[in-house]
Amino acid sequence: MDFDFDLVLTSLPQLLRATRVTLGVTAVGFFAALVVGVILAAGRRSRLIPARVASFLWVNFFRGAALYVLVIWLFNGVAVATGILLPALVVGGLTLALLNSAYLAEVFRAGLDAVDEGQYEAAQALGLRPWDVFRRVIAPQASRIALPSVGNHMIDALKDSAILAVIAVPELMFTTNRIAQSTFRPFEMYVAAAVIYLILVNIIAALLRLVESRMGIEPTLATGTTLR
Amino acid sequence: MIDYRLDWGLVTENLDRLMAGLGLLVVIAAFAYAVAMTLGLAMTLLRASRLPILRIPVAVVVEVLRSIPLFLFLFLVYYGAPQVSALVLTPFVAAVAALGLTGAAYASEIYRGALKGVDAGQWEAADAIGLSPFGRMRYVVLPQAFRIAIPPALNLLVALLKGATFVSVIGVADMFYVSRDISLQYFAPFELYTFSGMTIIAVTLSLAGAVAMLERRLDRTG
Amino acid sequence: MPDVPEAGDVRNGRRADQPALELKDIRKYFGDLCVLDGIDLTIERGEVVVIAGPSGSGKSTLLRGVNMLTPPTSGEVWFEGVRVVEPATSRWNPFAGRRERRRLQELRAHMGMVFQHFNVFPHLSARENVMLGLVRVSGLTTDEARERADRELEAVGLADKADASPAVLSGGQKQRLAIARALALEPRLMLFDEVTSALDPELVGEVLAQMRELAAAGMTMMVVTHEMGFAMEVADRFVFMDEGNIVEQGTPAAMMNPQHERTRSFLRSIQGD
Ligand SMILES: Nc1ncnc2c1ncn2[C@@H]1O[C@H](COP(=O)(O)OP(=O)(O)O)[C@@H](O)[C@H]1O
Ligand SMILES: [Mg+2]
Repeated sequence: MDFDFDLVLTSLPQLLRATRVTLGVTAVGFFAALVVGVILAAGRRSRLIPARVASFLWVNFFRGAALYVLVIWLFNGVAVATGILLPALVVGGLTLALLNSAYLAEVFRAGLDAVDEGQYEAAQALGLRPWDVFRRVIAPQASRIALPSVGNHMIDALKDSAILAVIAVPELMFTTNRIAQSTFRPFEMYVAAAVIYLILVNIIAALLRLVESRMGIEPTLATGTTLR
Repeated sequence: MIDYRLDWGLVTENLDRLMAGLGLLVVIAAFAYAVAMTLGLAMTLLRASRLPILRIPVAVVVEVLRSIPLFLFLFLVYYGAPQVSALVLTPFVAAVAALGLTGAAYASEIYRGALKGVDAGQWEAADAIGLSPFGRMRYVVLPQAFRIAIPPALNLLVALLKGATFVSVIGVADMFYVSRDISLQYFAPFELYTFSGMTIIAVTLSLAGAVAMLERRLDRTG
Repeated sequence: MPDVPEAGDVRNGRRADQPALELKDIRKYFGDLCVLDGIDLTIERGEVVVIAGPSGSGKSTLLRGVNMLTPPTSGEVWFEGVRVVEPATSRWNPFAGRRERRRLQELRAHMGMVFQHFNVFPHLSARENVMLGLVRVSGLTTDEARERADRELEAVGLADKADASPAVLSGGQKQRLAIARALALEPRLMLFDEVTSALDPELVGEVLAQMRELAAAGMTMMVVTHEMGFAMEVADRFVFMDEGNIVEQGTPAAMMNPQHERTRSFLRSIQGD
């Protein structure tokens, strides 16, 4: 078996450029998911029935959806039927955001549930407004509890982003495919991409540990939540 | 806007092909699950070994498999393997292999977590009543570990089914492959993808719901 | 026009003629379970009322009814002549009860509450625990609040712990911090719910000392406690509850010879341990 290392080296600049797209689309999609996830978690605990129903449906629909299914449905199905043709990068980021908002909503909900009831009571007894109760007392404690899970979901999102190759988002997986096909050296190219993903996952995991120890939380070893 | 007329007739006319494609997805997930659970157990035992030569390589493989995207690994197995070995895999076998191997890495973590989840006091208590190491495993630790492992093990099946949804990218003729095939012919991507998407979401959601229900029941009786 | 007092009147002290707290026919049901069975109780300004009774008799529920943490099913709560009402809630209208909620928040700021399990904010330092209400409720600037918080901490003997996280404080210190947090907002009524029950015996004294000091300074207090020695010493009035009713009340001296058998057996039971 001969491993064409030169090919890997010469393609490296292209791979690294594509890695930037991978990181960018993951970061934007995941950040949007964080924001929507918080809103959904609040919605599920709201006393307002419309908010509860809407967030329940949203969360459970997207938790059941697989990224591949959602992305081809949006990009090929919905786009064609409605005539709204968005760039692949936008659809890709949107899909990552939709799916992860559902996962993160569950993470935040668990975090909120884990905050002691006495904390709400003490905050209310002081006369704090509901927003301040949430923002100053509950959210800081819930986010500490949620942090390790959020880190794991971020790793999931990074791995998921490889699927965006099917709609030709010029990220790492797509670029790797392209070079593999044109050079007829798939093995080298996929191994090279695997190494890059491995490094990225470990960077996120290390950053997570750093933030955890900064916040005085027991550092965790993150590699994602489940098979992606 | 392009004049796009909905034609759901294409779905009903091809229902048999689509359902056969769904069946293929389920079969792939089931095979991969069998591989994952057996191979994962072997990996767990090897990782518990005292010999570093067994322990370390397995730990590295598990770590790598858990860190790279399944989507990428599928391509590596299907396109990469023939290049470096005599192994030429059919899309079906490549799909089962990629899902099964990655699944095994996760299964091995599930087994490990379950064994760790059994209270240390239980191991000690088993020793205290004079059980042999085998008896300790067989009668005290495994029954409890099994219980802990059930929900995550079933969730792995759900994850494998979700992972199986993209095997059409290497040419497995599953439901999405059929959907693409028909849409290319008749230009009806919305109807076909909506149908297959909703179908697979319904399947994964009911499976996940059943697992959650079982989990709640185990919690109550546990 | 009928005289409907507003929360602002409380702040301006326009209701100085009214009792500190008036509870009228308070009832509370949890489903079918009757926990408060028509409680009437008036507390004058500066009065220290100790509430005792067996576990499950409804003491906490009564106390938490005062600031609507557990709103009573029926009955009226009047604080310095102002009706304390539970804000209306709606499952459909997000704005329902908005005005009442604001008003309740304002009233709560004037009623301090100290809990059995401290409920200090673990993510904030001792100083920040006290500052939070000062900044977000009383509207002080951060600098003013910091200065004020340090004074409050000093008053409860925690000056050297201002920067400490609650995690490193002892139970007694946490409870004194909780007292400082409540006092910082200058409440005119303090509610204490078994605040020494979760403490190791050797830490009880420091918390009781703080409360004794507060009583001596003229604070109106409603205190649920099993510390009879302390109760006899600081209480102006002693209220004995059982099964959601006030069975008996009177001065501590009168309580030395209770009229009711239930009071007697309760007092015997807590002297037993
Ligand atoms: N949130 C609740 N839901 C149902 N029952 C409750 C709740 N809170 C208290 N109770 C019941 O009300 C009764 C009185 O409780 P509580 O006021 O805490 O008594 P005390 O403080 O005198 O021990 C008890 O029987 C208790 O179980
Ligand atoms: Mg109580």
